[in-house]
Amino acid sequence: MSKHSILIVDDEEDILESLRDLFEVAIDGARCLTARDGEEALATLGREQVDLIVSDFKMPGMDGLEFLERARQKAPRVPRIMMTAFPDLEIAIQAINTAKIETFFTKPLDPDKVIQSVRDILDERRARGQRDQAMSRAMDLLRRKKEGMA
Amino acid sequence: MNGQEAFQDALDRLVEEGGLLGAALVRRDGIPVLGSYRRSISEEVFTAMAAAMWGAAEAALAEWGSDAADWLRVDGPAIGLAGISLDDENLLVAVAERLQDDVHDRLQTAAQGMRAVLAG
Repeated sequence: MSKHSILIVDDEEDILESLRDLFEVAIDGARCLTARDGEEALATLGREQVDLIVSDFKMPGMDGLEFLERARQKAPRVPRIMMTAFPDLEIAIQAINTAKIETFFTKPLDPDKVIQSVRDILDERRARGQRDQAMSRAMDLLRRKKEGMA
Repeated sequence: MNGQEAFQDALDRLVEEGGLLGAALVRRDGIPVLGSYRRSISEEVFTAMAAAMWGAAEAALAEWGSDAADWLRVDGPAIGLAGISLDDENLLVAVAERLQDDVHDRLQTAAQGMRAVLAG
């Protein structure tokens, strides 16, 4: 049973396949969804449960920055990572400030660093989800107890 | 003895030999998994609140850059509660009339055995 769904967005098929293989082998319970462009990725985001988005910057049509900004509006709680072969300070600033990305990878990717970053992000997301559920359950019980006493 | 039975046995022994009022394997989202209690309590309330308390403590620690909590202890005038992290999904929580000084060591010992069971 998959524990994490990672949406990988890149217009290059070999990058999609490499990252999918990397994540599904190195990250326990990872299931990878892929998209060749921003529109396809947004459609996937609309119908699938996604735990992390990893997107290239340079793509035809909607670039990665625009896609990640729209992804943030569509699914604000899903963490976002951007990759690029063209590291540019201005783009990085925009990615952080507007698309609120978690981290930035430059190509060629260092597999060990990528895996560690992805693991850390997914672990934090899982822990946050567990905390939220515990709090929610506790608050619900308190409310029911109060109603029972009223 | 299967995994669940091994766990239940470990909890029962922890309560009996440790002089505890109760001990439970609790999921981090508050769902009770297994418990051993000397008194009748609402297990649902106990485990939900214990997990919420754990989650709140970790959220507070996270503000200081800490990854996670390993150990939690609450001392009250009549009852004390102690919890230890088992793995990413589960906690071991124990309650006693007065927590002894060695409660951490005893829970840690019990937790080591439980982690081995959880790891399969």
